[in-house]
Amino acid sequence: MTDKLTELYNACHPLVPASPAQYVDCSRVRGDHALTTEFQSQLDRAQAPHYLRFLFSGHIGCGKSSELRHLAETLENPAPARPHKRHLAILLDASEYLDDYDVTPTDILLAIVAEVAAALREKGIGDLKDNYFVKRFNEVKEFFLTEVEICEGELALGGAKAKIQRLQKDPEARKKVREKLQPQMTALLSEINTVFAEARLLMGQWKPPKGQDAFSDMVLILDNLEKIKRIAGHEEGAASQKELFIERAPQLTSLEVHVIYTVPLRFVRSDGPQLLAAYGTAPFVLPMIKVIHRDGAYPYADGVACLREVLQKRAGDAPIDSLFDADALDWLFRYSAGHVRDLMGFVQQAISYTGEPPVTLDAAKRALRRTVSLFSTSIPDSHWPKLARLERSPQRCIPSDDRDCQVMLEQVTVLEYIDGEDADRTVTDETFSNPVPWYAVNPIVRELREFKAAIADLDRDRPKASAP
Amino acid sequence: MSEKAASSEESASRRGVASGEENGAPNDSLSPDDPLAVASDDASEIEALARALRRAEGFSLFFAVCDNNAVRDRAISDVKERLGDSLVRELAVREPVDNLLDLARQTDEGVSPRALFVYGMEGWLPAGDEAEKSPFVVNLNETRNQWPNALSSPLVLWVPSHVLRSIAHGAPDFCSVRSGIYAFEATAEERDQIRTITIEADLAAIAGLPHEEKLERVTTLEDLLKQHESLPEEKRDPQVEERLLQSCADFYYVLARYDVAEPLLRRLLEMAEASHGPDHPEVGVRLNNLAQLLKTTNRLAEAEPLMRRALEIDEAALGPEHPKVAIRLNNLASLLHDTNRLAEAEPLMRRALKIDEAAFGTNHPEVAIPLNNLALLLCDTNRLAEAEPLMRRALGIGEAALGPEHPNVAKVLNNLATLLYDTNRLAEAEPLMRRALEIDEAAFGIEHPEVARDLSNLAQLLHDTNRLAESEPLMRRALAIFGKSCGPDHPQTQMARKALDTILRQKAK
Repeated sequence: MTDKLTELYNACHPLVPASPAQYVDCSRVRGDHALTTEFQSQLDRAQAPHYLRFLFSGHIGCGKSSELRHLAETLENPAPARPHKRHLAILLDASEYLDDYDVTPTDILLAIVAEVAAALREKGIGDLKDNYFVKRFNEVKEFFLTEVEICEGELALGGAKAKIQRLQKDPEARKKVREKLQPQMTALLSEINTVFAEARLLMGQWKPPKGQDAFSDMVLILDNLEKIKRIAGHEEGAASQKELFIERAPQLTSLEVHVIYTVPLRFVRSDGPQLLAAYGTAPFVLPMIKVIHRDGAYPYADGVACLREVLQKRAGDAPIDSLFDADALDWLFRYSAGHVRDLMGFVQQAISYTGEPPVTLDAAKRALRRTVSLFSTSIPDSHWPKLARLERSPQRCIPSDDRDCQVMLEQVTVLEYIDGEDADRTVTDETFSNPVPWYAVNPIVRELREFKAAIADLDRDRPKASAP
Repeated sequence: MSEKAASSEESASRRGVASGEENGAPNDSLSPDDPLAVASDDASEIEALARALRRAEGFSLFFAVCDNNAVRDRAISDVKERLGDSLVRELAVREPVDNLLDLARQTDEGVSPRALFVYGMEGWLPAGDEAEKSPFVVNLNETRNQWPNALSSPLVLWVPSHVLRSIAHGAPDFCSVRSGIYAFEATAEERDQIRTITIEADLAAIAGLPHEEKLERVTTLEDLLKQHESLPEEKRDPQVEERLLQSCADFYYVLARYDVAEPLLRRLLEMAEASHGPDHPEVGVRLNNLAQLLKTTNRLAEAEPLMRRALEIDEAALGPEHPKVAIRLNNLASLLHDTNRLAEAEPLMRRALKIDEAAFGTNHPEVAIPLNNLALLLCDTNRLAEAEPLMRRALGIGEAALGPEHPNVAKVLNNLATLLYDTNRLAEAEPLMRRALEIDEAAFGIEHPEVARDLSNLAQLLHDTNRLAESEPLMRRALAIFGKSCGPDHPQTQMARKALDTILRQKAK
């Protein structure tokens, strides 16, 4: 017998987004809205020259990249039964190009051009010709190419990706490239649209291999854009996010292509109205998989079933019930709170305490132990009363203008959930894509002594409900 | 070539400190009845980490938390043992690094190991919030997606808990892709290690160590100190820190690295002032130690007010007749002696002598110190006849109380020899010098700087009595010892070299 635990161990890597075979549609317990369905339905309604501006957000590790991959896969290979057209998905991982602590809009534009050109070449659709960007690249290439590479002649756009990515780690070259290009920002913006136009032309001329449809259009997915910490010349954090997503929105939205932008969750919760104004659409937020009821009671059966399915897909043909004791599984699901990446990490560590299956409750407890310590030592004092207040708030809301609460979202001490149609929603926005989320204190944090003390403080200070 | 006798240098805080036993319980924030509480032990953590490393294919990220280097080293060797023959690559990051990924790539040896262990960052990462913003941490977050391509084996970062916290805050995305956090606790024995390593013998014993060993020991102490300093505030034990600082300062002092010792002594002074208030005798001790260093580096004007403050503190706190006050008086008088304010120095030294005689009785070795120093003062005011009987009395006390072979006796012998030398009774001086040399060789070993001083004194006398052939090998030996134990640039070494040159020049004539 091959070692099933080792197989499962390696299928649960927290760094690797779900493969198509591992992907589970959890939308019914993620606010009843699926990114793919939602985006495709908007895409169907979109009419040129109106391009979609789609904002996408969610907790660190909640499965955003897995969802975007699944979307890209579906866009390129739509289900035959459905009337969707085939789209070329240009999935740009910003963290492959950008230095998160030093970004300018020019850097983003360069990355987009390089990624579009690479995608066209990779699919065999063709090479972008000697347009404006090739000329610009050739002006600046001396800053980031070696002499040998320069002697090799003109830089073809389709092969520029790896070379442009070098700029990420070369602040000197980046500075020189920007000095050269920044004065031409307006030209760059109009020329980047020429790139999209040329790409469409190439797609139109493209003879797809037998059995494939041609691409009707393309979608640009800017993944990990939310990880940018600092825009050059601005304060790190909120100020930079404002600069990028609000002040630079006119440029970001002038791209003549459907675009998905990933936005930090805390920014969505702090600056939602401005985002709505700038992009004309409310962000689509991927919440936790709902494994608790709004009153905090575990389990919410549908959500737990969904986590079981996620784990079962990773385990392949070995039934997870043969690999884990039932109470161990329940423990892992309960304390992951529907956070997929945490679940993967916990499962891996629990397996490491286990020689032969099944994984026991004791192993599951041990797996969480250090994360418990990490939480208890890294939560600032000012957070505890706020966490307690959230725990006691019947609405399960957090104030949108509280910096601490934004940090709590970022540090996943507070988790965001969205009810689906099944639950009795108390408040609903008029638009389907903007359901009102609710929040819960991370179940690990709820067990900490400091949290319990904060709850006791809060209960003591609050007037007791008078008897009826 | 006058040799001043022991001026009661104090190495403070050597007393065994009963320190608060740290609670080794890891689930510090959970009460035992909490659902998340679980017992664990190092053996199972080691087994689990080794199992994870055996199972993981390709890149995976692990944190191994150890708050103590000894624990870390033990855990590393245990995990490696569990992994058997599998290759584990270790990367000790002792110097600041901006991008760990680049370093891991550069040091890649082509063979894919079972795991890469990285440690040592706590030695240079800044403390607290600064660490979160440090290039090292920031770049971990930046490069999180590049690791799988750069490294085909699991990565284990061995860090103390505060560094893990900085990484969790400053590199949340990186931290969130971890495959596990394993933690190793110090055994009671290991927790004691830091306490015992700093409990040292006195300065003379330290001075007697070979130069190489001094350097080695001071490096270890520095490491421990850095390790301690990198702990978050609440985990720092001021008593441990004081001991480490004092030991470091002692070693640097005997290594004549006064520039390094001085800030350490100043920190100790500040710590004492902060924790005991400015008028506490502990502050007096720190002031005294710092003043001694300043005196050694010839900054007498700076040393004086410190010594006066130390004296005032002890007089006020302990009363004017306390033997500790005698030590302060003795030290201050010696300093005044050095600044040639002999008239000022004399009454202080006499007071010190009186206190000691009253406190210990006239024949106590403690009395020999001010007696000897007073005699030296008298020598310099040209009252050699007055000085000689005092010196002989000091010698008598020393011999009777400590035995004729005691190194303190050798010091007085040397001083008496100097007095005889100055009164031109070289034939009388010589046997005293030879006896001092014998005592010191027996007490400190033949390579001790104390021995070198005796050798150089004797060589000088032989030189003056024109026995150059006898003088030369002794001066050579003195030079060799100074060079070895104090370093080639120490003033003592330079003086010996100069003296040897003179002897050689005269021989050549």
